[in-house]
Amino acid sequence: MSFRSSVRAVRISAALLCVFGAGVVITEFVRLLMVFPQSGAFAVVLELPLVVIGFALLRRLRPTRAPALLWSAAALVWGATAAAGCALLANQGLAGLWAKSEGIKFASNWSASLTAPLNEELLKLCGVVMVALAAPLAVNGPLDGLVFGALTGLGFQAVENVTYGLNAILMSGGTNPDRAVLNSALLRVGTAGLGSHWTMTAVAGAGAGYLILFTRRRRLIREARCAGVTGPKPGHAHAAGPGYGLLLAAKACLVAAVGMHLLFDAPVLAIELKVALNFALVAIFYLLLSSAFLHRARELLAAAVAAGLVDAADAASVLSRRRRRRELRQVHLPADRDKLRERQQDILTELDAEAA
Amino acid sequence: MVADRPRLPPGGASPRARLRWLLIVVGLMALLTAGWPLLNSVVADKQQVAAGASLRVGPSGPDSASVRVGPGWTMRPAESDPRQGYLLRRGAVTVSIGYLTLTGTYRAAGIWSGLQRVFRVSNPGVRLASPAAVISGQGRAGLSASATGPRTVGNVTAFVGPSGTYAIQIVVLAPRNAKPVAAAAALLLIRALRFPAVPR
Repeated sequence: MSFRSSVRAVRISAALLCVFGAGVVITEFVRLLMVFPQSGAFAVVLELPLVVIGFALLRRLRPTRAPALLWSAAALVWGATAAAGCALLANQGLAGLWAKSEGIKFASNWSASLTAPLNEELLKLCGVVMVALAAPLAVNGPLDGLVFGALTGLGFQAVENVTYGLNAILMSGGTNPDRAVLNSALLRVGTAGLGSHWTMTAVAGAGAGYLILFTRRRRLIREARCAGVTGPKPGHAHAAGPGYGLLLAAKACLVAAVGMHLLFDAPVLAIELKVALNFALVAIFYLLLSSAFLHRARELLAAAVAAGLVDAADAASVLSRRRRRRELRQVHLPADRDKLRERQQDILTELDAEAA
Repeated sequence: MVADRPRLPPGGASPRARLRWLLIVVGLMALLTAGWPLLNSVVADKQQVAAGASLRVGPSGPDSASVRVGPGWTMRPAESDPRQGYLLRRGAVTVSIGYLTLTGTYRAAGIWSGLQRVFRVSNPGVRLASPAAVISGQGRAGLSASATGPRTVGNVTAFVGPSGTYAIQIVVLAPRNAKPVAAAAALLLIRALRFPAVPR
């Protein structure tokens, strides 16, 4: 099978899974939407600012340039459809098992925190893996994984918020459906929004990024062995050693994401504290990954300048969005500006792959 | 560095590896999405309720209610939660006792139109008659209406709690040939409903 057809197989499978997930969500709520169409639309509209602002902010998390719009949107859509729809079915199944095996009192307190973290974190994480398989240059390491994970989590969070809003109509007896939807959205976006799914999947996504680095490093070593090279393949920063630390980091990220989710859903601690904890964890993790990425990128650029592969002027501006824009503004001829833009993007593409 | 733009990053997955990962992802999703529901479906969703057991519904404290059930009832644990409600069965009769957190302060008459719409969501094709006043065993006023569908008959009853911020909804449904049984069950449950905030 060729590279192209394997990528096509991934993309078609991902699209089918998204259609399936969307179908499950719609089937689950179609009757409610038929009886309460206005409130259903209100529940969707209330999530739009979260999606639009969240999408724009999370894409800005990548230090040098935003990830591709198409794949950012794909991650968001996966979270909103494939992950959300499959989670509905998986959660119903596992929650039912908790109630039957451990009793309804235990299930009432702990079912959510013992069900959702396992199912949802894995289903959302599959989205990051699918993006990595469908767009090989999109996810190069933990920082990319974190951003795509956050986007997947955001999509999931928005749809979950809508479904909670719709369920709030039922749980309030339909007395004031719009108010029930509004109260639910205020709680889930206003109080819990900063530390909800996007933070957990960001951490899990970083784990997927570590896993990708690990598999790439293993493949490079294998290729080097086949080619008769015994030492690390020159020119590739990640070709040194088998990288079991990366595998460990990948596992730790997944465990941390499940743990964050478990604590978030558990009937302990105030929700504000749990939100703050999740937000702080992901913020610190992001800062560490981001500064490590920039450090490696500067080293690679310095080496490329020393080897005469990159102009010193390009190297000085390429890592900063603002400086890149300023450089582009200074070029007056459109053709020259396009060339410079292309050069900047080429350098960034290489840096994304090698500094990840 | 700039000259050749790679389609694959260094060490990027081969087509075979990509398909292997795709199978892992699809397999994992299928396992979670179908596996848990399948496993859940083979475990019996039935638990005997002791005769005279009092089922408390809602949060602990005054804004709750309890129903003392008679002999022969079974509970469906997967659809029951002490905070939100219970799904019970006895013979052909199915009873759901639901706790509703109202969006303001209401009386029974004020919640009925909303309840009718919510009932339509979970019971399409079942028609509710005009409600009539009922009195619980504790002397609390509520509303009750008969429900009629192509294959089922039953009754929907609602009582607003003493604080006016929550309500208890009791839905009794049974096959058409079990109408008297359903009516008797509804009557028993209405009599057995207790609000802790109502003085004895």
